[in-house]
Amino acid sequence: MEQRHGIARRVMAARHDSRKAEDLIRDYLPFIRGEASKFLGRFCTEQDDENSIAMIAFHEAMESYSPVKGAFLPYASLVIRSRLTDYARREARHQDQVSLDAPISEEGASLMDMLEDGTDRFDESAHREAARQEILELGGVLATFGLSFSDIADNCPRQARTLEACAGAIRWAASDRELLEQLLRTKKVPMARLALGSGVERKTLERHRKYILAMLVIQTNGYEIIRGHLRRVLGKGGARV
Amino acid sequence: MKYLVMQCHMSYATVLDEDGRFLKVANLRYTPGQTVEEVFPMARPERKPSRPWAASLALAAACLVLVLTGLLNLSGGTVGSVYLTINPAVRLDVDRRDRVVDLEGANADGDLLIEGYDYEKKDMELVVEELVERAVDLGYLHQGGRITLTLDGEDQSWVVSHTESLTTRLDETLGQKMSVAITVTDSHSAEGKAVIPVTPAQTEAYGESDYGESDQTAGTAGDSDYGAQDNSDSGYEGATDYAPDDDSGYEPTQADSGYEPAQDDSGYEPTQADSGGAPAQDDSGYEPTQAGSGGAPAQDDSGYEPPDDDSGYEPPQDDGDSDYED
Repeated sequence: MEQRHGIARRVMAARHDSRKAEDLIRDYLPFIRGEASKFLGRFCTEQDDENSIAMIAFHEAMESYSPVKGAFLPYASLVIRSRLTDYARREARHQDQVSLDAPISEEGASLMDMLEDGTDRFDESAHREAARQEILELGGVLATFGLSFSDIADNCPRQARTLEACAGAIRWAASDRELLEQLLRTKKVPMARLALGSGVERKTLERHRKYILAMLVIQTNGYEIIRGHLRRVLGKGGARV
Repeated sequence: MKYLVMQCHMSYATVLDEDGRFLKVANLRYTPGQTVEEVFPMARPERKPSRPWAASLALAAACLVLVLTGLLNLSGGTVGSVYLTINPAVRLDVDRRDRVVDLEGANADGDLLIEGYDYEKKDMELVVEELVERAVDLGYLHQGGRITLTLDGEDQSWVVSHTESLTTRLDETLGQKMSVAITVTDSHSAEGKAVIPVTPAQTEAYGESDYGESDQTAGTAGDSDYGAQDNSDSGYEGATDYAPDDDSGYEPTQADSGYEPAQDDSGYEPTQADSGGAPAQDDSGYEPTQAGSGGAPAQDDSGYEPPDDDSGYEPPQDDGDSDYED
């Protein structure tokens, strides 16, 4: 009985405390691995994708659990199985596709080798490293605002319509150097100015304040690769601050 | 669609797609800076965001405080409110027919306690009972715990009758399973309280009460903005019967039963004002009425009488007896 209390409480406590959440997941890794193994019908290792799926499913269960749903572990088990099923179904669809790495010629060359490939392996990893550096720096700046990437993800608009509206505001702000300077200086989004200038409803912007903030920071100096990744959203440009 | 991996955690990774969406996805051995084409996104729960916790989750206090408040003319025809505090604190608004018309958490644990609970139009006593059961399920209320009733009302007779019936009901609900003390507090007189243990076996002599969590109730009623909802000029005068019972020394022995919360690793402290308990989540717009708001009752058609007359309610601390003991 105490066990039950303990888990339920920990789950609720972990909801807004990422460290507690991680501790809880870590404590239940054997359980998670066990559920995945049960599903697979064989021992699930750390290398298996299913392990990662089971972990995120457990995390989902933690977020969506409520005592009305009964005891936590059976609920988590349900969610894990459900997500593993989703994953299996998705993978099954991919079985039909030919693997790029499979050998197709007598010399053992693979499809991959034979395809015209613009990027060189070396360039690719240098690019990845540069991106990683940018992201690290972005993370650092966001931390000075008291934000983590997880916070941003939680605050991100879901609907395409809202996402596009925010994109519009960000595109507008990208050309307003003063606004970006103000942002970095005051550590706050100048919402009134943004709403006024971009024409996007203030309510929408406020609701996604953290997300807007992150996207605005990305418009400041030093995030070329990330902006390049977002080219679809941003169009070209981005003010230098 | 391409996804740029931003950060990796044990159970998920955060990625950014080309449309500017940040997503939490399964961490399939990603590294930050990597671009991937396929991700397995985390399903986001369909619930309204909970309020941020300011206080750490309380494990230790097995103390249930019920505050009954009679109020007039709130929207929805609320005639009274029940403040239920274990260590979680919640407020129930009750209409003329004793149905719950609103339920809100008054602190972080309170939000937690009522999460997902459907109170709509349920009978007040049933709701209280179910919440108490939930509290037991979640481990807030244990053997040796305490229940406190805080009464505050414009309509004193409402307050009194509901106190009695609730106490009886809780007695029945819990009586067989565990012994719990029920304490009555009057939010109007900040410190006023009467201790009424619901304990088959014990007969505690308790004049003075070093009520460890009493500051919480007194605090909740008084200085922590946790008092009767001040929308109506409830003007509850004459709270004189609820003379302040300065706590000093009472420990119900069942609280000393050596009860240790099973997981007391949360650094729980009784939320006496400074740990950001009730005060910190003062987003219920809830003001103490005893903070000098006293005026005449807005509508005195309820047969309201000053408590020192014939309300029939005797605050036990006047004579040290427990009128609720059976």
